[in-house]
Amino acid sequence: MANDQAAMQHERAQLLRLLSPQQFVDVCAVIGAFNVVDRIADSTGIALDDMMLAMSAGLPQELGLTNFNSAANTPGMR
Amino acid sequence: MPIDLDYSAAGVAVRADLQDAHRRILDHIRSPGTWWSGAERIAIAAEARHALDCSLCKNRQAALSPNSVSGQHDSLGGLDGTIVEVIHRVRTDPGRLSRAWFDGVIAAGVSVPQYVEVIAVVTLLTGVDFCARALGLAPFALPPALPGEPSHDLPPAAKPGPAWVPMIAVEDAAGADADIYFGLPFVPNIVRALSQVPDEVRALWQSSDAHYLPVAQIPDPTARRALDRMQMELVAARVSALNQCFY
Repeated sequence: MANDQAAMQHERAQLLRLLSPQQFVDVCAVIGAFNVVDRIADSTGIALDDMMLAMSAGLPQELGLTNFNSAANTPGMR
Repeated sequence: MPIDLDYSAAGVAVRADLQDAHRRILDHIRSPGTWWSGAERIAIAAEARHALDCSLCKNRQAALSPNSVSGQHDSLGGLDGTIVEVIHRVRTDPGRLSRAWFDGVIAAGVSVPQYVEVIAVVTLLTGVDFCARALGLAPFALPPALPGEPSHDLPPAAKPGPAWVPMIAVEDAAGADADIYFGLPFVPNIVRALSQVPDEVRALWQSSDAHYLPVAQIPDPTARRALDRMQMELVAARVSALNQCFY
């Protein structure tokens, strides 16, 4: 959808019906933030931190996240 | 020359700290880095955008495995072929990178700190571009490069570990690089990932502060902007799932 300008425009309009303009800007900003950190994580081969792994308590397996290639960077996930 | 960005087409008021972060990131990208000149960094950024129209990248994205599709990237030229491969893969298909792929890049002659800096330039620009696109804006024009030579400063505290790239441990961040972790007792690997090139960690903080949350607020689950923290994390999780990012 990201390359479909009409679809993107429709989704923006939908979001702006549900959210305030300030909230809409925050959504756009968080989309930017995690397109940075996801790429850094996957191109440097870092493992999920022990603290976060402990907090997630089986959730990665339950959600199928261990099927992602980058799960191989965290010991015990693949 | 100051960097002037136009947000009027967004149709909403874009907060000043976010606009300032975009200007700072573009200014950082055009400046001489640690291993690449300003002109090379702008070339890396331009190639990252060019990757979106690359036939080889599109064919690889459509394939069950990117390794099953060979060919040449559609490139702007001017950068080494291995660097072009890094830029295109990180921009268009980051979820299927592997240790073997990384080892191949390094074996082809790219130094690890050069690689880390390329990752920083590509990813920081990608964040600005995704934010702009979500806002309904065309990509901001890349500014002209600033003159100067890369510093070639290699922090001795960066040490090999389980990640593909050496990183500075929290307890080893000292001297000129003592600031990169803000004295925090816990620094997640995502921040340490770029620490072989400390200036890129500083740039990542600037990006993260404005796009996500200021560093001091990240551990606080009640920290919020106009969105509350749960809403922010929902967007973050959706983006990461689309990117197939386990981290």
